[in-house]
Amino acid sequence: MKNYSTQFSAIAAVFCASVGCTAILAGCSATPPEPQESNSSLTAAVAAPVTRYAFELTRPSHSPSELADQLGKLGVSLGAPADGARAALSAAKLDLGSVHAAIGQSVKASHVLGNDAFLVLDEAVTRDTTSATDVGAGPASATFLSAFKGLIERGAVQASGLSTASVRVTHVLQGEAESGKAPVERIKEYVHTVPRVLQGVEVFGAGVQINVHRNGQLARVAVFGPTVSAKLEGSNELPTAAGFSFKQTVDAATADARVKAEYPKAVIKSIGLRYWLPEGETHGIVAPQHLYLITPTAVIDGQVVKARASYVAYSTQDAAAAPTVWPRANPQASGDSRP
Amino acid sequence: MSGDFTALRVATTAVVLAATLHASSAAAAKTYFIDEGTDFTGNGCEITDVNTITASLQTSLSAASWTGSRYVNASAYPQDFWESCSSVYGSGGLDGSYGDTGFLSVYAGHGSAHYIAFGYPHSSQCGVDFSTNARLGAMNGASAGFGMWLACEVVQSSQLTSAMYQRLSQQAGWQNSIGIGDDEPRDFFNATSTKTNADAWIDQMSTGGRDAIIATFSNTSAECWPKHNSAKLKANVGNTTLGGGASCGGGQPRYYVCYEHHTG
Repeated sequence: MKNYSTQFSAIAAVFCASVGCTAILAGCSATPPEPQESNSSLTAAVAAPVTRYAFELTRPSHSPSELADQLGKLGVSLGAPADGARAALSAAKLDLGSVHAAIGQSVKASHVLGNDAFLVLDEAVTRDTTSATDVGAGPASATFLSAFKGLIERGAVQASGLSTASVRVTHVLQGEAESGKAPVERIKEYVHTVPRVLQGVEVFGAGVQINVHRNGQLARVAVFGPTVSAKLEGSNELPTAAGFSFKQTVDAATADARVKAEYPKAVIKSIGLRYWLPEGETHGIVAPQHLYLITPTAVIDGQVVKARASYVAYSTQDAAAAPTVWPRANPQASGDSRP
Repeated sequence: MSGDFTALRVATTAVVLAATLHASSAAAAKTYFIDEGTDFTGNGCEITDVNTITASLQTSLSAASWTGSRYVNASAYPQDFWESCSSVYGSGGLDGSYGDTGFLSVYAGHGSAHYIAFGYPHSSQCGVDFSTNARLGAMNGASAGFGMWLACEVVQSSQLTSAMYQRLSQQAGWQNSIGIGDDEPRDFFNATSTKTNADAWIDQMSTGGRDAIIATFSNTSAECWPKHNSAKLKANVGNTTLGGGASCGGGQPRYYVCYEHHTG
């Protein structure tokens, strides 16, 4: 487990060092910055400045015991023994960046380092592709709510910032066909995702996901994304001493105009205001940013080719600040020598 | 969907699967072939530069005793995936020596429906049209069994029974525009030590609104779902080539496909 834990141990390695991550840089002083004045033509003052908060986000190092404890709590949702993860993980072969183990008769558990994602699934359920039953969205939602409540009761997730009122429902579909004929699809799993929310702003890539198979059984449970350091005042989450508050000085329209100017040949999808600690980073003092998904396009061999997308985030405090971009291009990459 | 497909899939068992797989396909070695493009500017196939995503995959493959090659940027040729048995598929095809020589066949770069785009032209070509250029798993080479297409929109469910057909046991990709983290292909591969390829692909590659899709192909309807629901790359379960493909220049034999994807 030593090598695995080492992967987590770089907390603060990127603190205040991420190029272009203004939120993290601003956090270095631990002092609330004054609203910034800028001569940049990109700057636009919002009509009524909104108070925003920067929070400390981490993807913490986990000891083997902590991994087993968390995966065990999730596995109970699927009927795995509470202590099943401990024995299974101690015997599991550890991979760089992830660990995988069978913790029950058909329950598989995983932890993936990149986004600190814990996931359990019941293979007997996820691999049911023949069941004719479809309980429908309503009963699936009831199963989700019950499972979500169980996660909170077992301490697998904290209730703060997770509201089932903001659940998003998507689907895993299955399809089949014979050659030359059109595929026919149907729902396999109802996917319920509850995003982690802070001060009304989602933490990108953080939350809880619970999949209910069309046969009515729980299929998968996942808890993922950075952990938020916050203090509670009533039900209101506020930053710890590491964070700060500030007045938002860059509105969405300003960021929209900037991203269009900087990516003129791309398909741009506005994701909205988000707290965002890019995957792979382990720590940051993070303020809300205007987040976009950028997909450059080009015509090659007469084909309209879509480049792999990247996320680009612009500061809400400084309209001229360099954006945060992930993933980062690496045109210098090399591989094996070709004979 | 044909009626017999529906009836037969319900009746399938693991015994049927084992028997049919034995009859129609061959166990594959733990081998791979990877081409990756990250430099897409200034070389003649202009798109945009992108991150490296198969370096750590190759490391994990090697650690699991898989053998193969990974060519990057100027060393990655579109013709590596072009069928080499005939110029009908384009002149200069090399799949018999490259893209159709490893059980796991991977391309990382950019793409569109049934098309993958390379960063450097080779013999004035920038890409592979799976419909017109490639017959992976058949004809020359005929060793590929799992196609992993790490690019946008390559695998479309509506094309699985037409333009995206190869002679592969499984193909995995996305139906929409996506970003991919540096280590996600590695994390997918490692997850298949315990999970099925289908579960591992859906779990790892569906986050953030990505419409990840994984499809399984079979010679009979009875084989498809059992194979889809059991194959595990790293655990070396169901790593069998599809077999039974056409000879050079031949058309597609009758086949079946089953798949799943996350609507994102």
